[in-house]
Amino acid sequence: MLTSKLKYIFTRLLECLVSLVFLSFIIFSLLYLAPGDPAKSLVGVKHATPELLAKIHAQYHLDDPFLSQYGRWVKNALSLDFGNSIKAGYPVVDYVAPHAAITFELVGLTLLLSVIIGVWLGVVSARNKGKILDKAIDLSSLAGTSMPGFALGLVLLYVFSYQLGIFPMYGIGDKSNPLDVLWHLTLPAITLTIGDAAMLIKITRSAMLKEVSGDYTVFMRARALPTSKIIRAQLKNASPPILTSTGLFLASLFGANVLVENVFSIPGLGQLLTSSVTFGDVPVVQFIALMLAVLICLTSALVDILVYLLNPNTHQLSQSTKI
Amino acid sequence: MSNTITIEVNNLRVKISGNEILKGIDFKINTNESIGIVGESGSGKTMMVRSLMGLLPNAAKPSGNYKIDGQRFKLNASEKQWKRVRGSSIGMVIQDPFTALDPLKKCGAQILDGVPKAKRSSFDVSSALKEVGLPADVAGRYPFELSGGQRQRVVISAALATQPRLLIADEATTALDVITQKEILDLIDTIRSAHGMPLIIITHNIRLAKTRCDRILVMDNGRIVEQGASKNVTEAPEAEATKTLIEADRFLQASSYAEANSGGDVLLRAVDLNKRFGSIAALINVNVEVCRSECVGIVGQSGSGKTTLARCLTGLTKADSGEVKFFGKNSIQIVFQDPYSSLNPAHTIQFILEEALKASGRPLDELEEIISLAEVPRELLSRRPASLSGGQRQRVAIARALAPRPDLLICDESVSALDVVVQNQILKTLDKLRHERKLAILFITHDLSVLRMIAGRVYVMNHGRVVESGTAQRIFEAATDEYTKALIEASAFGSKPHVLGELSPSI
Repeated sequence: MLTSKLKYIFTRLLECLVSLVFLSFIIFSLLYLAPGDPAKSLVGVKHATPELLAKIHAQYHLDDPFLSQYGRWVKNALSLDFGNSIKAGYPVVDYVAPHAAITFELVGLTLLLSVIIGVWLGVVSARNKGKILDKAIDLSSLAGTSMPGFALGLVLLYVFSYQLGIFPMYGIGDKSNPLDVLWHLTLPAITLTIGDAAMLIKITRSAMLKEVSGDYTVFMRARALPTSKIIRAQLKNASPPILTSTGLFLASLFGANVLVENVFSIPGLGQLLTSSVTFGDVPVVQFIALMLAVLICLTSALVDILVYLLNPNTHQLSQSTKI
Repeated sequence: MSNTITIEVNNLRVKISGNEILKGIDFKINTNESIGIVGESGSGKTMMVRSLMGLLPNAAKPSGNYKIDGQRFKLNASEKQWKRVRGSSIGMVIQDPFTALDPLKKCGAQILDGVPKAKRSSFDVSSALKEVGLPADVAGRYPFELSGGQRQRVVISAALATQPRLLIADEATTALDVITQKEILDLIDTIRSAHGMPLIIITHNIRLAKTRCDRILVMDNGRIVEQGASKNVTEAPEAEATKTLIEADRFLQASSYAEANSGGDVLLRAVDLNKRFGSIAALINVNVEVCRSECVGIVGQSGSGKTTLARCLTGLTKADSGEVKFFGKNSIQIVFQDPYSSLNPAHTIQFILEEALKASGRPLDELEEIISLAEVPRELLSRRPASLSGGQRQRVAIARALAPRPDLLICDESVSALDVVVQNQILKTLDKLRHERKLAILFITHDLSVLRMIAGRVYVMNHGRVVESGTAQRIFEAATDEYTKALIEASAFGSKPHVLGELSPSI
């Protein structure tokens, strides 16, 4: 039993690695997908003298065969060396790190709020199926899913920052003070949360409905078990779709926050990514893309492993013979 | 223990969105008797007992006077108030052992969950398991690792852990095969006398209620239409509903058997079939023969190999050795236990049947013929599968199977999911088809009583072997094999267990 568990975890992580190799290849090719000489992209906006181009060619080994360039790039990437940012002129990792920290904080906060609110309201809604409370939650989650994030952000900004003055207008405040940063990130996080939480409400509700009307629920109630215990059992049984979609939300959040970061003028990854694409800062774009790819691949593998471990039945599927 | 519970309910009514489901029920328990509540599905028997425990669906509105031990109790009490009644006063075992337990929690922990807090530290799970005839190591297993019978024993143990003073068994054995059914009922009997508590058995099987209960209540359409001592109710029924239930019961009827056609024109012959799945032998030297316009029954418990045999006969599974010869011109069709999953819910019945005709290259005007043969009411044609009852769906499945004009129809537990009255109607239709269309039928079931009504010849299977075969009359009246005798006794619900305990030590 233990070995079949380990085998599954190993296989799933291997799959993750295979897709990362594939993705890294595409990400590396970004440099060549831009029209013209890649050396020119690497020069950036400086005047491209023949001497400079030759220097760049030598520095980046641009005359080597494509595959050996890829191999060198991967090897460097493993030691977190992605070269220098064209725009900033210093190592990519140092350049991106502070932006990434802000975005991770924002995404983490959003995910936490979405899961707490989405799962909680989804459970309440399913347990009160057909009642007014259920209908109210259902209606507001419909509104939440259909509201575009950037528009909602503007509304919240106008009401809470401009009219009421509760939250700051823009930026992330004093970086050395975590509470101040949190205060600045609250409104953007709420903006992102509303859409995701609304979707999680719907997913949790439909997964829970099956459990709420299930026989084991009736049997647990018939034995007068505490409600908290019943909800825990139902939630555990309903968890696979909830966990899977939470994993997917994490991936989509990195896309969704580009607009929201712009609305709230937050110097996060989204802003950095847009400006780097416009500027043609290929090493930066490559690093951000690879970082997100690793993050998303690992999350989805972890979600799958978690779902697998939760269900004792799947561990033994290979061993049971059906007649 | 002498703290007998008294329960009294007067003028119990339950309404769901305007429809009255229970129409004024008076009911009383004040001795340690066993009461059978019988009725067709939809007669309101489950609603009635669930309203005594506050387990009605959200939309249901109950009313009436309810007293437990002489104390008034509100039928629309809050969840919190009901907790005083559930478990400690009334315990319930529900129908389907496959879904009654939390699939993600070990059995021991689930039993322990219901034990009152004060007694939890001194509660011994292994002796609780022993009481229901299970080994101690079941505590560490998940429900999916147990058989249906074992799971139902865990459910009973979990229901007893709350130390109820009244036990309700709601169709607690319907989903199990006959031998396991009998064992579970015997267990419930033993527990009832050991704990000295009253018992309510809810069932659509009046024969079961007769052999297991002191008193029978017959329900029909939300009312109690007849009640009295079991013997009186079953031997001198007065209400129409009681008579229908008794008529539906094939073992309470003197019956004539379908004609056996052995030695006639052979349609299908299987010789020395063997099939293994890993270390398990599913078929061992099985020989089966089906003649034209004959109904042959194959009976056995789950795991006896009967479904594997059906799959080998139709070529869905390849046997390891042996051969299957089919002498018919047309095809073999199968009708499954639950046609719901095989009927596309997005299409109307007409579309589904026309599609089947098209697929088998038959003209569409044969639709009239197949629906009249399968007795599908015309007005169902424009409806979709979800709005049909189980019996109606099964008729649609039969009509669809008739589309390619098969020579042989294989029915794999085709009526097992239906209540007895509907079962009989479907069986009559099949028998008529056999006569009118010269259709051969191979009927696979765990329920011998079904075969008594329809089969001319019977094969009895156990652990992959055909242990006995012959005409239905001979099998039912002069079985020679011990296993066959046990099956017959179990389906007839003989009152005391004889051979059964020794025959299936695995449960």
